[in-house]
Amino acid sequence: MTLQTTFRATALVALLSALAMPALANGNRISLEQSGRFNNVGGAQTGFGQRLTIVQEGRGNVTINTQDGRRNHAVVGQSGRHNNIDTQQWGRRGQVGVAQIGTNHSAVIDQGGQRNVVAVVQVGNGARANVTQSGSNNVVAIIQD
Amino acid sequence: MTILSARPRISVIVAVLGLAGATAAACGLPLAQAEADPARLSATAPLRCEIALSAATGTTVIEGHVHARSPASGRYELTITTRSRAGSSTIRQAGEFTLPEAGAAVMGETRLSGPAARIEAEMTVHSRGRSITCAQTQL
Repeated sequence: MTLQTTFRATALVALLSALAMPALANGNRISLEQSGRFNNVGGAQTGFGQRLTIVQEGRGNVTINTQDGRRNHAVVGQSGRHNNIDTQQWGRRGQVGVAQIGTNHSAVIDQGGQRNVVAVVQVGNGARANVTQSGSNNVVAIIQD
Repeated sequence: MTILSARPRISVIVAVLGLAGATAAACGLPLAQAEADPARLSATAPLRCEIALSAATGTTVIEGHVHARSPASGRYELTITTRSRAGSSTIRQAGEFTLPEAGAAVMGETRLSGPAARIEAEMTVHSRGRSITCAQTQL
């Protein structure tokens, strides 16, 4: 039990360290899953072809992500209630996918550049989605049900 | 705060994320290729904007168009809002455009769930020191 707890804590510290420091190389992938209440994740990636995947389950969780460069992908899933996503991408051909299940979720997405794509799926009540895109040939799809 | 192993709820989220990704891929089409359509141009306005709405399988597609009778360039701003029991959405798209010849170009594309009646959209185009604004076209 103690060994398992130590392993989990060590793995979590390693993941949070990776997220706390900007990823400067290209083609990096970060994947993180959290459950519980009031968890916070902040990620920053610079380069092209970066992948960021975050899944949070519970309530009051927050994820704030920034990606600079081309062809970056950010995918965030949250279930529960009162969870928040704030994702920024600067560069061309970035893609953001957001899925939120539950009530009173919020998704804020900012993209700057050309040919960026945002897809948001929010299932439940009281969801809010705010998408801002600066550039040309950008596409948004929002499904709220 | 704990790291999860695979759980049923997580698999549901992953499935929905897959849907979001597929939607993004489906929407990731090149847009701003100017196409000549002189019939849609006003006889008097050298430049005009249009918000085009179309229904597609339970969703509404909103496109901001710029029509020009001669080569033009400028900047556009498109704001779209929608509200339903499920939630509310606000989309702001802005950027530069260039039409090398007379015709029309699509500035951006947004697809929202639900009917067009829930959607409010407004587009402003700035070019040659002037600005024009257009509101949504009813389906």
